[in-house]
Parts: sequence; C-alpha cells; structure tokens
Amino acid sequence: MVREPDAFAIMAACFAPPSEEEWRSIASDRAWADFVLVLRGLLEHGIDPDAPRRPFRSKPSLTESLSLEETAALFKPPDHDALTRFSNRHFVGGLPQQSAMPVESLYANRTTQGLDPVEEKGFYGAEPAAYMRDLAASLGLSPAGLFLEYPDHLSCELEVLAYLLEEGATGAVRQFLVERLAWLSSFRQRLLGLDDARFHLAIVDAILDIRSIAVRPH
Amino acid sequence: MSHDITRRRFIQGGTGVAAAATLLGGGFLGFDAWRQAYADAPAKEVKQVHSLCNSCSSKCGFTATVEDGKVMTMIGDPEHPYCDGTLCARGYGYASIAYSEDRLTNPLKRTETGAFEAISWDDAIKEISEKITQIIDEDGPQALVLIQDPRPSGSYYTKRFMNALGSANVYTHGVSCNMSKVSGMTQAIGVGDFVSDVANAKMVMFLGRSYADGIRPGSLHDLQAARKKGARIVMVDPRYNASCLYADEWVPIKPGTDLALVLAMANVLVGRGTYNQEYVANNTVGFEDWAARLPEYTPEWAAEITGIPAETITRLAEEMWEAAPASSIEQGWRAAFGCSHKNSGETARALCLFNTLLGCWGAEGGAIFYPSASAGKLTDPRFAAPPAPKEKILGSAEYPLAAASMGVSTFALQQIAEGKVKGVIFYQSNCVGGYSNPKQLDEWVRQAELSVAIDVQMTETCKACQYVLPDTSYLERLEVPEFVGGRVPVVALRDRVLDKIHPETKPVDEIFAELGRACGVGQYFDFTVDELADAQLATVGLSLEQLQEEGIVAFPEKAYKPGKEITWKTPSGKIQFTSEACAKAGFTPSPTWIEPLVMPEEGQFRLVGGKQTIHTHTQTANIKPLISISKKYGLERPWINADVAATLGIEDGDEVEISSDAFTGRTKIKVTERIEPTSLYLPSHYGRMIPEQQLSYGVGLSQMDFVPFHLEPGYGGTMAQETVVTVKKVGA
Repeated sequence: MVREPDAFAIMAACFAPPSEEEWRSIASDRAWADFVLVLRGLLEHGIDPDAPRRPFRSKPSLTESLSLEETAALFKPPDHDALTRFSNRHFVGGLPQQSAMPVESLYANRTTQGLDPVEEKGFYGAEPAAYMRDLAASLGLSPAGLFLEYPDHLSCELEVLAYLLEEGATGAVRQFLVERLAWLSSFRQRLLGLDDARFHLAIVDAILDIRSIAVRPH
Repeated sequence: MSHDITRRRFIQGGTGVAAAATLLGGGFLGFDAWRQAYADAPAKEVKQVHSLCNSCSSKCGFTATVEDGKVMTMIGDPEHPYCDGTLCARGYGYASIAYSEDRLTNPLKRTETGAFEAISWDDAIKEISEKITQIIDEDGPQALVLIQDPRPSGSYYTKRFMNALGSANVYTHGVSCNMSKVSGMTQAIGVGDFVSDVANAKMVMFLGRSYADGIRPGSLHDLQAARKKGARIVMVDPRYNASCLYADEWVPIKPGTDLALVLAMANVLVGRGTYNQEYVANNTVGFEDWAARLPEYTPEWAAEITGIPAETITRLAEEMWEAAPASSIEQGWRAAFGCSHKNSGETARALCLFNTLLGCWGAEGGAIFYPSASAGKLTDPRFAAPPAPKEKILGSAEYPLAAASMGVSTFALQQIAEGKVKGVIFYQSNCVGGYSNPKQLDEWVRQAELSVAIDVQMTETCKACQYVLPDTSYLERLEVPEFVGGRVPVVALRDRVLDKIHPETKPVDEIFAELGRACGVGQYFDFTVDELADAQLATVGLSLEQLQEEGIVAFPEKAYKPGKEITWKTPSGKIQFTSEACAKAGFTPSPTWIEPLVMPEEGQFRLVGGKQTIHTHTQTANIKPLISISKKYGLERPWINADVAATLGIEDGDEVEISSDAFTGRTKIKVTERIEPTSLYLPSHYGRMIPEQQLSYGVGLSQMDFVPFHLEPGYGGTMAQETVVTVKKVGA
C-alpha cells in the first residue's frame, strides 16, 4: 500500500535511479497505480490535512495540474533502462545543453564576498547544501550515498520530506515544502529545454502543484 | 499481492517522533532562522592547507584557510619564487572552478547521435584499455599519443603510463607556447632558458614579454624593484602592454621582426668592437661565422623591416653595451618568439648570442641561471621506471630542433590523418581549442580510433573526443612534490584543500593507475600518490607530513651564488655561435635573417595574440569571476591603431568584420594608440565556440580560428602569428 510519505520517496527515486529490482517493484502496474492515486490525492488536498480543499470532484483529474503529455507520461513510467539513460544524459554536469542536475544550489543565488558583492547562480555547495546537512544532523538522520555528496539533491530533499511526513510533523513538512522546493520552477525551465523530459516534468509539476497548495495562507 | 516500496535510500536513522516533537516544540528551524544562526555561528572546523595554484603552469604556492570545508582565503606564499607572496587575479578567480556548475561530474562517452552520456568508471576504463591494447597489438605503441599541459602529477603519471606501454609520444603544449624559444636557446647555450636578473639590472630589454599580462607575480616584483632602483627598462612590443607602466621606453615593432632588431644591434656592437671580446674569445665557438654575416644587418636595413628608426636601434645597442654586464635581452616566453613566427627559433638563438656579446652570462644584473633541486633516485622497486621506449618521439625527425621534452604535438595529430597514429589521450590540455587551427585539429582528433580527454570542464578538445574522464579540481587532490628552481630552490606540494566534491571524479594519479592496471602494466602503478610523494621527499631528508605542515621547504645550501662558473651543456662545451644541428636542419650555422612567412600588404594587418592579466589562454575563459571582468570592460575586443582606424572610418566600439583565408568573424573593436599600425591584437582567451563553455560562448573571437595549420620549419612551433587579416566596419 502506497502512503503519502511513500509517494515522495518514489518521486525521489525518479531523480536518482535505484537498482533495477527496486525500480521494477516501484513501477509495477499495481504499485504505480497506487502511487498515481496517492498523487492525485496530494494534488487535491496537499500534504496538510487542514489545508483548504479544492472544490469537490468525484474523480480529481491529473490534467488539472499536468499537461496531457505529462499525464500520459506519468501513467506509463519509463522502464529502468530508459530511466537510467535519461539520468546518464541529463543528471550529469558539464554539459549545459544537456545537463539538468537536480541540485538546489545550482539554482540558488549566492552572494559573493568582498567590496563589490554580487548575486550569482550556478555553484555547487551553496547555502542549501549547508542547510540540508545541518538539518539532517538536527533531525538525527544519518546521511548516506547521494546525501553525503549532494545533500541538496532533489532526491535527498524529497526523502527528508517523506521522513517529516511520516513523523507527522505537519508544520515542518509545510515549511520545508515551501522553502526548499521553490527552485523547482527554475529546474523545470531546464527540463523544458530537453526533448525527452516529459516524465520528469510531470513529477516536477506535480511537486510544484502540491507546494502551491502549501503556500496558500490558511 | 503486497509490494514493498523501498524508501529512504539516502537518509537513515532519525530519532522518531520525539525528534519531530522537539522540532515542533522549539519551532522548526526554517531556512531563515538557520541562516541567521549559521551566519553568527563560528566555524566548526578551521584548517590551513598549503597547496599550489593551477590557473597557469607556474603553480604558485599559497596557503588556504578552509572553514567547514569552504575556502575562505588564499594567501600567496612568500617563499615560493614564482609568486613571492602574491597570487594574481587568475589564481583567485580560478579557485571557483571547484564548485562551478560546468564541472564534469561523470565519465562520459559520445554516443552515435553525438551527445555525451555518463558511463561508469569500470566501463570507461575497460573500453579505453581494450582499445589501447588493440592499437598496440595492431600498430605498435608508437600509434599512441598523449598530449598534456604539464602539472606535477600529470607529468609523472602520463609519462610513466605511456613509457610503460612502450610509447615515447608524450607531448606538452609547447608547440603553442614556448617551444621555439626553448629549442632555439638550446642550440646556443645548451639549455632552453635563463633568467634576466631584472631586480639588479642596469638595463633590460623585453622582446614581447609582459610580466603584468602574463606570468609571474615574483617577476613583476623584480620589475618593480628594478624601476625603483633606476634601471632602464625597454619594452619592444607591437602593443603597449600592461608592463609598460614600469618601462622607460616603449619601442613599437612590427611583429615577426625581432630577429632583425637583434641582428642589427649585434651589427652595431660587433662593427664597432664594442662587445666583450675577452668573454667571447674564452667562452664561445663559431663567433667568426656570425661576425662575417652581420655587416649586412645595418640599423638602416632593420629600420625598414621593423618599423623602428635606425637611430633608435643604434642607441639601444649602445645603451645595452654601456650597461653591460648588468644588461640583457630578457628571455621571453611565448609572445614574440615562443611559437609565433617562421623565425622564432632563430630569434631565440640570436637573442642568446647578443647577450653573449654583452658578456652578461652569470653577471649580477645580467643573464643568470638559477639553481634547481630535484628528488633523488628512488630505490624502492615499486617506483622503478619502465624501460625506455625503443623509438623517439614522433616528429623528432621532421622537426629535429624541437625540444624532445615538449615534442610537436600537432604534428602527432596530423599523423592521425596519415594513419600512423590511432589513439590520442589529452590531459589538462585544450589542444583543439588553442594549439593551432581548431577546425583542422578537431577533424583529425575525430578520425582517431580512440580519443580520450581528461579535464575538469568541457572544452573543444573534450568535445572532439570519444571519451571524457572527469578530473578532480586542483583543490581536491594531492600531487607529486614540485621542485622549483630559483634564487633559492624550494620544494612545494599541491595538497588536498577540499574534500572531493563530485564523487565520480578522480585525480589524475588514480586515472592513470587504473588505466595502467587495465592495460597490463599495473606493476608500474603499485603505489599511492601519497607513498610516491613521501618516497621522493625522503630522498631530500623530508617527509610528506612535514611538507604538508610547512608548505614550502627551501634548500638554502643550493642558493644562487653569483660568479659561479657556468658549465655549458652544448656539444662543444661552450656557447655556440654556430650550431651543427641548425646547419643540418637547413639553417645557416649562425643565425641570419629569416623573413616571416607572411607580411601584411596594403590594407592588411598581422594578427597577434597575447595574454591579459586575468586570463590564461582558454583555460580560464569559462571561469565566472574572470570572464565577468572581461565582459564588463570589453576586454575581448581586438585592438587597432587609432590612426589606421581613422583611415578606415572605424571608431572605438564599432562592430567590425575580421577576415583571414581561414576564417571570418565579427566583434566590437577597441581603437587605441597602444598598438603599432600594422598589427591587430586579439587577446588569446576568447571566441569559445562550444556552448558547453556557457559563460564564454560567443564572447569575442579566437585568434586560432584565423590561423591556418602550419609548423615552423625545423623547430615545429605553431607560427601562431603568421596570419594576415583584413578589417572592415560592419555596414560600411
């Protein structure tokens, strides 16, 4: 049974391909159908059970949040080979026409020091990375793998979100969602420049829509 | 059917609800609150690490202060002879490469569509080594070529790897840097370089070299000291370069004619007998041959060629003699005769011979040779050198005067088209973008059966290759100790300032060790770089730990001693006015005038390059802090003489079209009095034409695009300034 925290963990896996076995389990017909159902719910009411609800629909439509092409892509997740190839083409650095590294620091402004400080983007290891490291420490989490290397990688941020959701820390979840995932708008622009990113665009748009619900004042 | 969803692969543990409750109880530490606390909190870990810069080949020493894994300051080491306590703008700016968005993060392989995809290191090493083995089996080890811009570990591991495979073909970037200079000087004085004792000189003449635009801070300090002491500094250069601030006189010269100037000045001294006759008699061979050739090279003759008035040439010669032996023509590097013209090698040779007339070798304020230091022989069998390759480096027969330590790298690439070279590896080298005509070099590299580039960011060279392997940045690796000659020789170390930032990058020592093992020569790589460094340092009474702690260790017992007798490493044991090797290569035994390959006609300009203070050729073009300065001040603009511009109806900032036979490009131009009339100066850093260099893509023009592929006879230099161009205003 896929629960809401699981949904975020599944979305995390989309941006850092797991093993073939793990992805097969995630993307199996039944598991994926469950995931899409949970996603629909999140798109309707967000992560906060107290958040304002959208007008009643008997069957909330994904196309409220996603384009038709994205919806189609979402319903048919890539197989492991395609997921890995996409990652090998785009989740690598140094290829500006191809690269779309899902690392928050690259999209965040940083202020240079010195007499004439400027705001600039496009550097790894900026404040978001430091914040995520400290946050993990304050939550008593043990970073592993990708988190050690890129703590502000989208997959890592989604896993922290999943953890907070599982712990029932609703306020923290909302604030984290609002503060940490705003950069996905810029990341989305990068994905739009690729010609094979519909599936990942679907996931990003879904997250942005979930975030937009959290942003709304109560 | 149940199905488990595996969650949280990247985080584990957590103290559960209690932790969450604490957060909620104390308020979730949101980003703003964290930022406030973070800004006020002292760093948890502060350390100082000694290392070497990598923004150019000088490798100046610095000490970094690192707070919580971030470099906060970099201070040049006072004891390092090249920086003398000062890092240049490049040194500071280039440090940003460590965190740059454009860092290569994974091994890449070009697919059939031309796009690159990440592959695993295991697959990369396997495929590359299989191809190397196949090439060796079918065509022999000489069908493999490696081209690099030398760095401490790179120099060691690349040569070891290639020699272990049986290949002698290890090339540097010299063909487009200073190979002609090094090679020409070797024919005269037995070594490829000397140092003008600028700080103590009464007079120094610079031919095309600008410390302030190029390297090194320590040299610039010497120039400043010389100026303060009242030394006479003369800059002979087509452009009024940044070092002219410290000069008494700027002598604009038509590029490619420095040889004529030197010959004419020699004519003055020899013709009048005002040269150090005793020194020449006791320390040289072949003087009579040169003396017999000089009479035709009068100042009047040279004036026509150089554009320098005859009286000026005569006066400069007289002044140099008057100041001797505390005077010299400075040794130069690249600009005027490093690789630039058909006569570059012979210019370097003639320069050394002119200095000989002054009797300034080894004299205070003259031309001196700094002592060096090196590691001793390593006795541990793990470090034993592979057998020397049976053959010589490719190109040594065709370019017999080219320094074997550098080799003619672009000739080697040309052999791909000839079918003699099948595989090429590049390390820390943008050969395709910078060593000669990029279009031609790109074409050859793409024809290779195997092409591999090892670098930190995408370059024209990487793009032409089948495989791209990601190096760590220089801040993330330890390298083989660097022994540096100087007034007091030192040993210094590039140490790990930062932990590895991208997990799938590897330092050069690991890359070649793995390739070596995969190619069946792993026995030559049975050690870590730490072990190698420690073993090398042990031979001079030091340890790796000690050098890491101290940063730089000097060898005062080897310090320069004025007046020490010089041993000339020439075949004759003396300074050679005549060279048998040059004669065999088709030159006159002693240097005579060689006209440049091309001469601008009416309406044409000679295209000249040259560095700027904030850049190192193409290496720094995509470095954000540095290219930002360029863009802000229009530093990419070529320079045209103001009087000439007026005749062409060109004003400062106009868009112009520049054309050679090889290329046409458009850019905005700078109109200035700081360039002689027949030259068009194009800084050598711009015109990057691959989108992957996203900060510099399309900024300015590349000098090399205009340069056809050709090589200097005998010496093999690129002849980077043997190109004529036309300039016209767009829309005119």
